[in-house]
Amino acid sequence: MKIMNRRDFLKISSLVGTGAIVVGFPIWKIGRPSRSYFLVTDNPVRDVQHLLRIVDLGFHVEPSVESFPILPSGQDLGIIEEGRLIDPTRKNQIPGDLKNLAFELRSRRTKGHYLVSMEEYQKDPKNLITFEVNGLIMEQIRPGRNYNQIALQVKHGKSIFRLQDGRLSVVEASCRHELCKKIGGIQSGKIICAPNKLVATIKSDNTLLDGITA
Amino acid sequence: MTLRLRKLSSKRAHSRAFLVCIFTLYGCTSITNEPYYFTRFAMDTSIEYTIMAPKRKLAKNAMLKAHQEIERIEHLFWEKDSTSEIYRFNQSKRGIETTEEVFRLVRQALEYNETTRGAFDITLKPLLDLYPFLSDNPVPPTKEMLDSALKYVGEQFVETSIRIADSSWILRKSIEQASLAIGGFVKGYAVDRAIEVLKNNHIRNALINAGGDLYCLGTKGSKPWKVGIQNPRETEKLINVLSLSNIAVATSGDYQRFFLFNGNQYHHILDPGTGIPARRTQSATVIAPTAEEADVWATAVFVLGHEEGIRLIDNRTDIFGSAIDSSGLIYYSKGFGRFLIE
Repeated sequence: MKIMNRRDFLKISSLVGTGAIVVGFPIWKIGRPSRSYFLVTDNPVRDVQHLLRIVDLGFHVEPSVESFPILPSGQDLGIIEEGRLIDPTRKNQIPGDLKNLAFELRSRRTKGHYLVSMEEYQKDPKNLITFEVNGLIMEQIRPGRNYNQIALQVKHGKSIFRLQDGRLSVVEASCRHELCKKIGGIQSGKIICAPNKLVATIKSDNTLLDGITA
Repeated sequence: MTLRLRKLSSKRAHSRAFLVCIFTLYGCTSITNEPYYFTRFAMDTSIEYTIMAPKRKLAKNAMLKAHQEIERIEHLFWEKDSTSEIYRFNQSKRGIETTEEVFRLVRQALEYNETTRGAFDITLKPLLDLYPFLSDNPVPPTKEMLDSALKYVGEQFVETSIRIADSSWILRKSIEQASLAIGGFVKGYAVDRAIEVLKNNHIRNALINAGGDLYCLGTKGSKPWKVGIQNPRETEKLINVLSLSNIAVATSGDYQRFFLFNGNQYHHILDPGTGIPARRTQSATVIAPTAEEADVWATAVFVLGHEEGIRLIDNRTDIFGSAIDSSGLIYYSKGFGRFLIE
């Protein structure tokens, strides 16, 4: 039985191919709908790592993390999807691990001190001052204003930065030798506190270098 | 001039259209690599990874494996780690039986001592222990203390051997006080090993920066990686910018770890002959096929000074260096210019 002749096959193939490009390309570009998360915690590094592990398993968005010190409050985990706030413990299609994390946060006796929000991953953020602890972005600030205190909870306590007239410096260091404090202020580059695994980076649009050897 | 258009037959037109669609579709969905950035910590320094990959998850997985390798090497070689082989050797009276990897690296380091005319020396720990870099009130050692420690410094006190009967790898020392400090050299080795892990995980373009020891694998997009050399006296400025691909670079400088006493600066790169910080150079930068070699030769050029150091490098065709002498003048070896952008 002859299914299709060669001419028809080629005609249909070319139409299918063109159609795939016309229809598929925008979908590929736009991508899947995204979710963002927030959680209130007294241990942002640990809880964010936990949440990242869960998110990596279930979803394909790449989150960036921002952490803000807040007044002590009850701990919780929330999901924001298409502008709506969802309680993970009450929605059916949420992975069990997320529900468990929400329950765990609520059952802790200590109060949360940090509000952490995770959104779509921002690739190579420019013109931002970034504070990372143990590889996680805990704070992102746009330069252009002064900050007397940027406090970060780290392994050995609290590290406090000041941003004054575009110059970032360490005001209070919780590590033993306070080498990061002795650097003084920087207008570009990094301040690193190895004992606390803390990296503060000032990037700019003019940053053309991929690395510095020193 | 007239254009002559040849009308394609219907069959040929369809087949070509089909092929065009297939290739265009492939092109649209073909994967473009983006740079993904990660920072981790090991060996008392930050390790910065820039990995070119189609997805962050791929880059992150590769980075985690590479960093695992760096941590493995840290546990094996870091003399401050009480579980490391080097710590065990330093604490021993006569030496230890160890792994093949440790054996080979120590033996390689002892050979570097010869090729750098003694400038690179891993037996300086008795001297380094006299300099309290992390003390709140550091005081440099006296000449008597240095002379006493110098008696225990030298590659003649350390020996590597293989016990054939049971294929054991032996690190031996002829005096109990002999001890090794190979931290700086191990950083370069760790970077090289991490790059191999990235390659084994299908990463073709990446940059690893371990506290200033870098390896640039492949390119960033279509262009080589751009690496700046820090100005030793104005650390927010650069001396030069390099264009690098599939090559390593390392810098030794007198501003990286030091303390001040009575107006004098005491930094951590000691002259093995005298036990005091080498003074001929402010910083030395070396480009080499591996980060391990770049690390070793940067130290050697720093200690030897620009004259002898750059001259030694000029004898090599695969290693290139620059040195800033104590007055701030910059010297380059032959061929270094090809890497300079500005």
